[in-house]
Amino acid sequence: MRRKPLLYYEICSGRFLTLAGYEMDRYTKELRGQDMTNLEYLVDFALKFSEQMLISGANLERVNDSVYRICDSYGCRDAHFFSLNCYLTLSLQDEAGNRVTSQRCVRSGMDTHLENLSKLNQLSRQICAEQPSPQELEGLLKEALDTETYSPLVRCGGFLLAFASLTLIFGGSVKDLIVVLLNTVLMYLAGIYLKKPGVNRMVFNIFSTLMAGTVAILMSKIGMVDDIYIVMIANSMMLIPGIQMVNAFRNLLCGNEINGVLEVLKATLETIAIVGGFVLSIYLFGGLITW
Amino acid sequence: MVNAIKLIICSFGASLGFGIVFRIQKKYLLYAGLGGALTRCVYLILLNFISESFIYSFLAAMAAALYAEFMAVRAKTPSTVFLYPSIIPLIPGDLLYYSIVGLILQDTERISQNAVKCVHSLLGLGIGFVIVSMVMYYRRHLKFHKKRQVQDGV
Repeated sequence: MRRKPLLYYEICSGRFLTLAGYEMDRYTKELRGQDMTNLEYLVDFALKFSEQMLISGANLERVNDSVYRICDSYGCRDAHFFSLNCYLTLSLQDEAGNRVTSQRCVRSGMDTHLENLSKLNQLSRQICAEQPSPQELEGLLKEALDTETYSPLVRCGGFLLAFASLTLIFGGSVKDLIVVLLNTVLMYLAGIYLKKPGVNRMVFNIFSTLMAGTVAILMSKIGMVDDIYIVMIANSMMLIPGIQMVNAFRNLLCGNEINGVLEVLKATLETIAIVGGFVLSIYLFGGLITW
Repeated sequence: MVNAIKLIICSFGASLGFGIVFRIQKKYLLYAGLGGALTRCVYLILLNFISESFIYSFLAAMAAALYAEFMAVRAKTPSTVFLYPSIIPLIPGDLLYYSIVGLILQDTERISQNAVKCVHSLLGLGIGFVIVSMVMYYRRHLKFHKKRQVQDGV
């Protein structure tokens, strides 16, 4: 059967935006079938593995270290790996002198998953110790990622506990706490339905904080809020890229300056979007509140 | 004193909650909460002696990173698993927020009050983590290269 062009298929199936990510792997495999060499399998795996590590929340130094160790364990001493949080490229040469180079765009919308990170770390150790066949590596990766410890309800509970504690740390009253928790649930639900790889993070942040700010202002107008700033700061902590910012400074100090600069810029823009949403809600629904 | 205990308990709750949000394995959740409480404890003690935000952030970050590295070695898992929840009490989210508010409203006084302190805190945190993690990183790196040299017969 004659295969349709990839782009045609993507547009028809409504998945045009994901062409650069996972969908591309499927095509690579379909098109190339069993023709892949062991070295190609290894490069393919190493890139997918590092992508998953980055998505799960690993820092670049850890990812680089793991990739070099895996390549080394298969006898590929001449490995060149360049990594940013959004882009990876690996060039690998085996003992026979064959070289394979491949690159990968890391999908945006990172969602910290520290259990996956632990499992990926264990997988890396296992691979370095046992060196399974390169064809088996992808199966092992899927197996490692095939877990979900917490249900959405439990995660929502985690958010509520975290933000209730933060409100109390900031000195909020019981009234403030109730509004923060209400906003947390709303922002969590928005996150489930809107925070997909294709959705721009800044747009999501503006939408979420506009919603949270509106709820806070309306509640303050009916006397349900004692200090609106505490409510807004506590809720903004759900989105403020604090860990991203700390990691960016760490990159800058560890020699990964390009990634550090990009991440500082990204975190600043995301924070501007967060504050922008709140300011917009004040301009739209405020009037009683002055900064 | 009562306020300090309240803050420590709240930090425990915040780190435990973020542990769930970051999807840590259930067996490590308690340690995540303890990391947050320990970091807050160190932070509160340092606040009594040091007034410079860069210094107390730096020292508290080192304490959090040491705890995370210690736990990571014991649990044979990346230190990030314990580090992320532990640093929650240190993240200057409010300063970052107020700095951007100042920027949007063109309030230079607010920017100068908060942004400088925020950058100091972030730099202190960054350097604190980097010093501890780089020591551990080079220790691992050195072991890796020694092993490789033994394999190569050098």
